[in-house]
Formats: sequence, C-alpha cells, structure tokens
Amino acid sequence: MPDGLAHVLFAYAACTALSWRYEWLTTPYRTAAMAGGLIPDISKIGVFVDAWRVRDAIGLPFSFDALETGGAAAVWVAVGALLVVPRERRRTAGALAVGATTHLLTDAMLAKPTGHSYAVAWPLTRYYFPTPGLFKSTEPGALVVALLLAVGAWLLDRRRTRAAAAER
Amino acid sequence: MFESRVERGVGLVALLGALFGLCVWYGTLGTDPASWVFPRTAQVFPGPERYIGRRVVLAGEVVSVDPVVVSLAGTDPPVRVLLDGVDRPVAAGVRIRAFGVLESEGTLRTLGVVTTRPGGFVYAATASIVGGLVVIGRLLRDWRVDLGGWGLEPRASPPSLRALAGAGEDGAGTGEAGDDRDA
Repeated sequence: MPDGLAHVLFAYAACTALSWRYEWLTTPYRTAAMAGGLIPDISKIGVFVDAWRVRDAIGLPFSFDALETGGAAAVWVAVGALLVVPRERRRTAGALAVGATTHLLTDAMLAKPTGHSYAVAWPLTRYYFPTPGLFKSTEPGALVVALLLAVGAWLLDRRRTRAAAAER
Repeated sequence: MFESRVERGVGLVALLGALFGLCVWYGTLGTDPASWVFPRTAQVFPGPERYIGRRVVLAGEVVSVDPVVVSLAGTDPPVRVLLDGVDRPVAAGVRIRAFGVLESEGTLRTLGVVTTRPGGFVYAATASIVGGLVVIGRLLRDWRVDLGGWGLEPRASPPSLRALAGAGEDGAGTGEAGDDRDA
C-alpha cells in the first residue's frame, strides 16, 4: 500500500472533488470516505497474526490476502452500511466505496518486482494487473502526491464555497 | 429490509462470515503464472529443487553486494541466494524482493527487483498510525451513536445562520457557506 496516511489523503481529495458534483458529500461523508480509504489495509492483520496459526486452528486453508481485494472491500462497505442508521445507508455506502476504491487503485500502482500488482479485482478475476510502479509504501513519494492533491482540493473547495456564498 | 436491529445483527454476522469465507477461499488458490501469481519464498524453500527453471518471487536482506547475495526471510537456517543480473546498484542491508527464474537452489536469474530503504517499514507504520488517528479523530467529531435507531449517524455541524433559519433533514449547514469546518 502507499502508507495509510497517503491513503486517507487520497480518499479526502477524491471525495472533496466529487462533492462539487454530488453536494451531499459533506464533512461527515468525507470522513466516511477517509475511513473507507483504510479498509483494504485490514489485511495487515496478517502481519500480527500468522495465517498458519489460523489454518492450524480451523483445519482449513486461510489467507488474509483476500482482505486486500475488491471483493472483500465491497463486503466491508456493506458492513459499514449496516452500522449506520438506515436512512444514512446509501450515502454512507457511497462514501465508503469512494474511499475504498481510491485505496484499491493506488495500491494497484505500487512498484512490484514482477511488474504486476495484486488480485485487486478478485473474485471477479485473480489476474494481477500490470502496475506502472509509481509508489512504494515504504517511501514518502505517495504521501507527497496525496498531500498536494488534498491541499489542492481543500483550497478549491473553499473557493467554491465562498463563491457560492457571495452569489446569495 | 434490514430495518430492525435483529435483521441488521444477522446481516452483520453474515457479512463477517462472508469475509471469513473469502479468506478461506483465497487460501485454496494456488499459484497461477498466467495471472502473474508466482510462488514465494515460503513455498519454494522447503524444497527448491522442484522450482528450478520456474519463475518465483524471493524476499530477504542483501548481505553482499558484488555479486548480490540475499539472505532469504523466513528460512531457518537462513538460505542465501545469488541474484544474477541485477541491473542497478543495491546496498548491503536493504530489504529486497526479487522476481526471476530459479536457475539452481542458490541462484536466481533476476528479472525485476524492488528494494526497501532502511527505515522504510518504520516510515510506513508511522504514517499509517497517523492516518488511523486522523480517521478516528474525524469519526469522533463527525459521527454519533443514535441510541434510538441503534446505529451511527452524522452529527449536524455547529449551527450556522442557514441551519438556524431552516434546517433540512440532514442538519443543513454542512457544506454551506460559513461552515469553516467543511474540510
């Protein structure tokens, strides 16, 4: 992954830009999108819990890698939708999905030795798509880009808000 | 649908079960070179002779630079592999992941590498913790638990003139002019 902070900032930038078209994407939904931006990193639990221990315990195959995929992200979005009150469900799911999507897309651009990324579209397909290799999760390049996008989005957003207020 | 607490609770359990199921399913998947899914260190090194001539991905720490030799992570006792054909300078001590053809139990004809600078994992962990704190902070600020509806809902922003004049169903004032917290 680009690191978690970069993911959160990418999600914020995407959501803020989308709010210019979808005005319901106000602060709380931007927060939801930022939370969504961390969802696929739930797979990092595999760093702390050895998958083989789980396999031994349950007697079945098991891999935490499933949690980085698009399919798992979709399930988590549904989990988020059920955690909010029913009238907020659609908007929350939408915001979470925006955030999770930015995460999946930026992860799919990480540098890999094979030149291909990971099973981002699983279970639709297991194919590891080619990656342009733009980022490493262990270097701040992605964070710098994310920060620029987030600050830019925030500035543009303030300008639009002020322009809208001036018209009234 | 899924309005009552019971239905939502059942739904949540079902979804978590689905996530568990996805992890089990993924665990059954083997390598698939056509999809660019290759065997990794842990799969190869119990018995590397079976992988000679095949493409694999190995990870470890660079222990010598000319020629490039890697001590593989997770092998006990540590296995050393020579990376043949690394086309750029790597320093001793960096973590490396190498993709290539296993020419022998001790040599990888390298097709691509990615290195991690020392301190890279500390950076990634720190940045991720900061990101997590930002999200938790914003969630606490922007959402509340509706005990009546048994769920989370957005807080209305601090009232602006607009909200006092005529609040919409959402707590209007969010995202409108004058709401400096719309960030």
